[in-house]
Amino acid sequence: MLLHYGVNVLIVAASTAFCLAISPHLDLINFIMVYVLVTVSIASFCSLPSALIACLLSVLAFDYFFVPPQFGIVVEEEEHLFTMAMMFVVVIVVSRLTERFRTQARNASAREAQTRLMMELTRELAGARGTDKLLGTATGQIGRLFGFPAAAFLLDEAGLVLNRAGAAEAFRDLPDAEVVVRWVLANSQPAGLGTRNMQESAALYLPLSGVGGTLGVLGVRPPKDASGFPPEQLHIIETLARQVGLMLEVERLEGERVRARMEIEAERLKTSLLSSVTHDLQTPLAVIMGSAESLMAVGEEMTPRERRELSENIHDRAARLSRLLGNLLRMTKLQSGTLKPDLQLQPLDEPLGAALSLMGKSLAGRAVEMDIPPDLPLLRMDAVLMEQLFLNLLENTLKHTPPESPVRIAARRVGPDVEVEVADRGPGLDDAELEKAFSLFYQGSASSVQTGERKGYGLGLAICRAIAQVHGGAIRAEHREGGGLSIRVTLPAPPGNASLPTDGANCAEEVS
Amino acid sequence: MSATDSLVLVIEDEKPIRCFLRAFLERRGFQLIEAEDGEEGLALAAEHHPALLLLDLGLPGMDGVEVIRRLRVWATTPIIVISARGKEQDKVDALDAGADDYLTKPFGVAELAARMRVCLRHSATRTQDEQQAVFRTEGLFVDLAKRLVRLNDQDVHLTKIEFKLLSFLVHNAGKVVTHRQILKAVWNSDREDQLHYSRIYVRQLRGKIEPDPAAPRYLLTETGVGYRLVG
Repeated sequence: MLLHYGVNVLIVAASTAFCLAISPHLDLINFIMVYVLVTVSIASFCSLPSALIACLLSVLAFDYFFVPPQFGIVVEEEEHLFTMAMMFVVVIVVSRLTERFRTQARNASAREAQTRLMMELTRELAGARGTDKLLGTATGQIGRLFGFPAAAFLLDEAGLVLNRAGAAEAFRDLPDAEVVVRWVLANSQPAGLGTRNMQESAALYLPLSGVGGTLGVLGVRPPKDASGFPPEQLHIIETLARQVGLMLEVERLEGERVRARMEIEAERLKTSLLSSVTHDLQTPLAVIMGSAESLMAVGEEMTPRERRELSENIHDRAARLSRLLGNLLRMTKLQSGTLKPDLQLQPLDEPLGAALSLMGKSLAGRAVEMDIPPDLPLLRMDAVLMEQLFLNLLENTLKHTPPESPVRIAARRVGPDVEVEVADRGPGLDDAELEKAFSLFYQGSASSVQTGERKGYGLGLAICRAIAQVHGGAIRAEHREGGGLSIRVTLPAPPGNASLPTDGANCAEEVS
Repeated sequence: MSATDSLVLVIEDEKPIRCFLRAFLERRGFQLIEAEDGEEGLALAAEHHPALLLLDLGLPGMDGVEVIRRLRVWATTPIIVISARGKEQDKVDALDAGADDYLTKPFGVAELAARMRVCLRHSATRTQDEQQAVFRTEGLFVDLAKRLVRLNDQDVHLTKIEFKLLSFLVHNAGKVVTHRQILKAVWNSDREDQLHYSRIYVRQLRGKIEPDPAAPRYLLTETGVGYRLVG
C-alpha cells in the first residue's frame, strides 16, 4: 500500500518535471491534460484513496507550478479553481468505474473456479457406484473442501435413521440430530443452522431429493463458534446435496430394476427346474418303484442274486435322488438369494482338503498333484459351499475321465484374485461346450465319456458357478495344454494382506 | 402262451430298469431280449420278431420316436412306450408315430403287465377279426360288416360320421388313438384347426354307446392325447 503511494508521488513528480520542461512552449490547458491523464491512469489501477491522493498532489502541483501566480498556492482566477474541482470529479468517476469492473472480473473468476470445483466433485461422484460409495464420496468431499465433518443419513427398511456414510462421530453428541433428520425427510426442506427451520441445531441438514421424493439427508457440522456458512460454501454444499439426491434416486431405480430382473430369473429357473427335474426325478424313481414292486410281487421266486441286484439298484437310485434333491435345494436357494453364504477368512486348503478326504476312496488309483503355494492369502469363503464346489469339480473329473488318469489341483495369485485350477487329462470339451457346461441341466454331448450309470444331471457345474458367484468370483472351463480339461475358479482375495498369521499373530482377530 | 407269443423286446438304456423288468416279467410268463439303444433294438426286432416292444424314448443316439417310425415301415408289432417324458405332446408324438400305448415313468410293473396283455390280445384278435371286425364286450356289441351296434341288446342308430369313428376305434381297440389319427382316418384331414372334431363326435358317440356318458366305460379319454376303446 505504502509502495503504491510512493510510486504515485513519483509519477506525479515526474509529470510535473515533464510539464516544467515543456512549459515555455505550451499553453496552460495542456498541462491540465497531462495531469488528468496521469490521475485517471492511477485511478484505473489503484484503489480510490490512493487515486484521490494522487489527484490532490496533481492539483497542488498544477496550482503551485503553473497557475499564476506561479510558485504560490493562491489562485487568482476562479476559472482555475473550477478546473481543479473537475479533475477531482473525473478521478472519482473513473476510479468508481474501474472498481466496479474489477469486482465483476473477480466475481467471474470466482464463479469459474466454483464451477470447475463442482464439475470435479460431480465427476468424482459419478464414478462412485452403489449407495454407500456415493454417500461416502460426497461426505468426504465436503470434509476435504471445507475441513468440517459431514454425514449422510438414510432410513433403513425398519424405518430407523441410519448413518450410512461420513463422520458419524461428529453427530453423535447432537441429541437433536435424529429429530431434525426425520423432519427433513418428511418435509424435503433444509433445516438446522442458518436455515429458517430448527435454527437452534448446531448442524445444517439438507434433503437428498430426487424427482420421486427425499431419500436421505446430508448433515454438515461447522466448527463450534461458527454462526453459519459463507454463501459460496453453502452454494457448493447445496449443489452437492442436489446432485447426490438425484444419483441416489438413480441408484434406487437401478436396484429395483436388478431386483425385478432377479425375480424374473428366479421364476424362469423355477419353470425350467420343474420340467427338467420331473424328468431327472422320474428315471431313478422308476427304478426304485419298479424294483420294489417286483420284489414285493415275485421276490420269493427270484434267485438270491436277482434279489440282491434289485435291492442294490433301489439303494443306489435312492442315494442319487437324495444327492440330486440336496443339490437342487442348494441351487435354488443360492439363485434365489435365500442361502446367504457365511463368508469367513480361511486358507484354501481347508475346503479343498475336506473335499479331497470326502472323495477319498473314489480318488484311489489316481495321481493327485497338488500345487498350493504356502504364501497364498486367506480367502473369504463359506466353508460348506466351497467344499461343495470342489466336491462337484472332483466328482465331474471322476465321471468324465478314464480311471487312473491324473488330476492336478493348483492355486496361484492372479492380480487381485486367487485362481484355483482343477485339471484332468480326460477327453476335454468342445469349444462350444466350454461355456455351455455351466448352464443348468446341460448333460454333455454323446462324445464325452458317460455311461448310463455315470450320467450326470447337469447340475454340478451350474452349482459351482452359483457358488463362485456368491463369493464374488467366477468359474470357467478351458482346454488344457497337452489335452484334457482345466476348470479355473477365480476368487477375490480380500483387500489388505490377510495372509496366514505368523507366529504370535492373533488369529482370532483375522477370522472374525 | 407259446414261446414266440411271449417274446418281449426291451429297448432301454437304464440297466436297473431292464433288470427289474426281466426279474418281474419272466415270472409272469414273458421271455425278454434286451437292447441298450435304438439301432441294436431294431436289429434284434428284425432278427427275433418279438410279440411286443417295450421302448424308452430318451435313448442314446437314435431317439425312441425315430425307432417307432423305422419299425413301423415293416412291422405292426405292438409297441408300448415307457418314458420319463410325461408331457402330452411327447405322448402324442410317440402315438402318432405308431406306438400302441404309453406309460410314464415311474410306472407300476403290475399295470405294465396288464397293458402288455391287452396289447397282445388285441394284436391277436386284430389279425383274426380284421375281416369280421367284431367288437364284443359286456353290454356293447359292434359288428362293422353288418353295421350293427347294440348296447344292452338295444339297437343303436349311428350317423355316418359316428359309425366311421366307431369303426376306426374298433379297428384299434385297446390302443390309444390320437386326435390327429382320428381326424386323418374319419375326415381324411391334416388340419390343425380341425383337431377338435374328434372331441365333438366322441361326445356324441358316447351319448349313444355309453350307459353313463359322463363316466365312460368303453370309450376312455387319454387326457391331452386322444381316446382308447376298451373292452
